[in-house]
Amino acid sequence: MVLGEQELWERMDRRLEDRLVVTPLLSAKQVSGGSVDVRLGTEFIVLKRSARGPINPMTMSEGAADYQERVVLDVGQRMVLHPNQLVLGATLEFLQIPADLMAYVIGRSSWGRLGLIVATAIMVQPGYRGSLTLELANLGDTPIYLYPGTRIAQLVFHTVSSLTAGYAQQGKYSGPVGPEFSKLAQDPDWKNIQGLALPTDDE
Amino acid sequence: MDYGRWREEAYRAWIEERSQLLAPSVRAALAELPAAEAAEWVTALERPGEPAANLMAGWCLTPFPFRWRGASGLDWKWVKTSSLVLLAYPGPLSWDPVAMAAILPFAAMQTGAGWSPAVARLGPALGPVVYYGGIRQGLEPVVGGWLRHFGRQAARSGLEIVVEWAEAFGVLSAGEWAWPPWPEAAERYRSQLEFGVVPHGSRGSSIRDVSALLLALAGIGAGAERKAAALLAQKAVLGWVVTQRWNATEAEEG
Repeated sequence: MVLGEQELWERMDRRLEDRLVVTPLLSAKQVSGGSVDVRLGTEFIVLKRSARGPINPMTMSEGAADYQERVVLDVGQRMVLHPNQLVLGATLEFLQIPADLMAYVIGRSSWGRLGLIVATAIMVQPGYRGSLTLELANLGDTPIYLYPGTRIAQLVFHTVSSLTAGYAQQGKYSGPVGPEFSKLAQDPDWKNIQGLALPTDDE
Repeated sequence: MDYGRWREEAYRAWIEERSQLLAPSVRAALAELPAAEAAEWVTALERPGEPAANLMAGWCLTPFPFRWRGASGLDWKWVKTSSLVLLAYPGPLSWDPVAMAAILPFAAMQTGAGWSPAVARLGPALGPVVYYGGIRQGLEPVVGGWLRHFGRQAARSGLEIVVEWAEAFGVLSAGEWAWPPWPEAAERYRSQLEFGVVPHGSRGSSIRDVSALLLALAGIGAGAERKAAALLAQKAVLGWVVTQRWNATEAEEG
């Protein structure tokens, strides 16, 4: 069941352990019609063209500075997103999703019509705590300014029928306050994938 | 050409080359300094400022009528030029909003503005701020005043180590200032930090009192959990700054 406006507010008034937290809410209008608007934060990871080699998801932690740069804007500054550029941003808001709720993240179509595609993990798990990392890509032919504080996506909350142990205790992504780079290298499957691989010329 | 002039010219050429991406006002400030000192500042200014330090500097320096530029150094340093103030803070502490709030008492000492702006803005957080910020000189009267007003409450709020440190200054040297009361919100913010969420007000609104947040964070102590809590506190300060500006714009538009 999708939560309506009244229940969203009621969830935000509960005791801390069970509270739906979306902070800072700059305007009550952000909660409207069964969704909560979230805004673009000030911190970004800019992906660059690597001078040394491709990204290997098995060993991404090595040489990350070669293809990514962390940029933090002061409040009031803006950033340019060039055509075909990908940056990771984060929501201005920090979230705490109660154990009996989950959320879907929906990019605003007004941005899509300018060529700005806002993607993210789409589903926010019960028990998640932290800001959401947003993948921002400019698919148009014209650079676009990104202004922190802009409403960038909507969260639609659903109830979960049976309670789970909660993402915060299980997941790899709990608690970030800014954008986080992919943690693919931590996947437990890599040992098996390596076992499947045939030797190549460069090994 | 003598060695001194040759060295000066070499330094100036190096500064010119390394400072090309800096703002014109910063380059103008560097030009006013002796070459060796300007070279040290260039090295610090080349690195991007630390987010928590910039946020706290913005909050701390509001009462002062000058332009400033922060730089991540190894210690507190201050140079005033005709165009702006260059302020270096200890980069290794820059993730911690409590330590970085020491920009305010440091600025008060450097400008000769007296302790009133720091007392008014930091209130009971002044003790932990100077303790964790590592400012150690010229503090006797104000630390004495802090201890006399807030020593007992601080000892009950996880700040025993600060109280112990302040006692060495002695309350006899305490000066008189108009100290704000201990903020009620500090305990609530500390519970939120310890629970692992960004401190907030009702229904997702931002915090209302930065000094209460600093007290809450300082009360968590100096252990491993402090860093995680400091990141949450940074986010809370950012939320406060954005909210203040947002509300000011809405008020202007009526």
